[in-house]
Amino acid sequence: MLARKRVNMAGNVIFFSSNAWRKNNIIRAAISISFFILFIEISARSLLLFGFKIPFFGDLPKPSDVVKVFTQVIFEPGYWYSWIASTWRVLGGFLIALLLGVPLALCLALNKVFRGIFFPVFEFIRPIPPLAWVPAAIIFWPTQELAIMFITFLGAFFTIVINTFGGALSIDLRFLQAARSLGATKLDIFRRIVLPACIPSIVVGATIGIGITWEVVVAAEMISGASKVGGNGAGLGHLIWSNYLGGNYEMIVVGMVSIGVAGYICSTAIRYTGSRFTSWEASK
Amino acid sequence: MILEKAMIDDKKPIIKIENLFHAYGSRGNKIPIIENFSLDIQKGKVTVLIGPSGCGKSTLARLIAGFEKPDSGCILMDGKTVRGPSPERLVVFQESALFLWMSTLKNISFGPDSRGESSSCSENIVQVMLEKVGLNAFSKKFPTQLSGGMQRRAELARALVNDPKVMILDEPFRGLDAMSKALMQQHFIGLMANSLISCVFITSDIDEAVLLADQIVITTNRPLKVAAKLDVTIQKPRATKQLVESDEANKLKFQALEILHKEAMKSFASGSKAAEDFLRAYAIRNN
Repeated sequence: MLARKRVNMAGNVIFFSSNAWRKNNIIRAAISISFFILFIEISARSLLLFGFKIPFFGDLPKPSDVVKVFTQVIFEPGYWYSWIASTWRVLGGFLIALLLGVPLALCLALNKVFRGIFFPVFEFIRPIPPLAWVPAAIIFWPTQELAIMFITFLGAFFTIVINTFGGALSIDLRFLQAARSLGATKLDIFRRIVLPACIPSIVVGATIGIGITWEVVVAAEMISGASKVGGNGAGLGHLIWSNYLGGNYEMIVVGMVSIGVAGYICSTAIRYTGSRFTSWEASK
Repeated sequence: MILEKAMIDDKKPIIKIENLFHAYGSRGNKIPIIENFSLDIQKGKVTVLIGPSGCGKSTLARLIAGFEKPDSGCILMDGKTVRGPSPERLVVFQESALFLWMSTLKNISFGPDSRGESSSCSENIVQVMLEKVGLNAFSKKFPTQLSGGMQRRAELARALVNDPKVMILDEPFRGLDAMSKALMQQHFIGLMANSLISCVFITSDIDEAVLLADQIVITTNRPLKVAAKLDVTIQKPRATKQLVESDEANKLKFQALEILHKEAMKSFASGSKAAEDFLRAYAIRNN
């Protein structure tokens, strides 16, 4: 009972709030997904079955073939090297974005002079899509790897900064006043009031940011020709691109599903880590 | 720290407010919030400020607390000008300003902790205070897990552990239901009994004013001025029930109501003047 209530209060989807609900929802999800896959399977075979092709769906690779390819591919080390390469680029760019973005956002929010000087520059660069940076990044950075990581960094950086900045600006003034009159020093106020008050917005920024890094890493790998990195470390985006060029459509779907899974794992991990830091929020 | 009330016959006010003026807005368009406001706050007494809502009482609270500097005039505490916030003058905020990410215990010990007084002595004071406000069982809970009344008690405790000379309570029980409000008022009376703390209590509730005050200061509508001062000499501690039957309390209430009503009429009149202006401007535009 208690556990159930806690999950409810955490806002962690009412979905999982009770066993009966959970069972029903899993059954519903299983049915809807099976029907969807079955529909694509039938559509993909429509030319054979009905003598005409169902538009769009008729051109998709058969799910049964995709599964067949998938079961073969997971035993190939090359496939896993792609995972490692992309994950490394994502996490590297993301962590640097977090390490640089949070302090920058706090400086922007807390110091008016700093904000006056740097916010216009920030706002000027922010709307430039990360992918527009790809050519410049390839020119600037000595290695392909660094160029890709720079793109993923940009993807997460602006979201993290703008979220943290907003969070820091919206701190209730009374918190600062109360802390000040209770005798807290400036450093204390920063450490015990400003920082914890910003954590929820940092977590939101990070959760959105990691999603964007997966979006851009794939595109960056496709455009920058990550294959030049050599060896097996071409990445999942490159896996999709090269299989498209090679006409291996089942592998495209394998790559897409893999990215979906990777992104899901990453954002779940961030959300979980975030909830550890904001346990006080869960009690709302 | 605790002395008999009789022992305080120090007539010198703890806070002296002289010719205070404060305005908000840009230079060309200044709106005076407080004008020509003078008031003495007596040591160890509860001074209740009551006035129409939105009249600038909260601004006065911020000025006394030292969060803002007055445009002119001065606020003296023990003869010294107030230049900024200090643990001697603590604010209990409207609704709750407890730090949401700290447990009740951490909130209450925030003052001693930030001044580096984390000795066993101050820990003891915090523990005693937790018991006093009846939050012992909730010391590990976060503010959002507490009820409205508990939050106000924690808020009071957070101020009281610092042993302030002055407490500024800005409508501290606003937003509570009638039942919790009555309970909190009694709780507050209990906490303040035999205490040397001088309170500036801001409210818009006459019953609350009569129940808690040694002196009621009725303020005008914006700009804030003193409209009248009423001394409340009814024997303390008081109870709500006893006040209903007390002639003195009813007389006071009537007096206060009359002055407040006059103020309300004035603000209404000024309101209709604005309406008049608006109509005139509208007529000119249409011609």
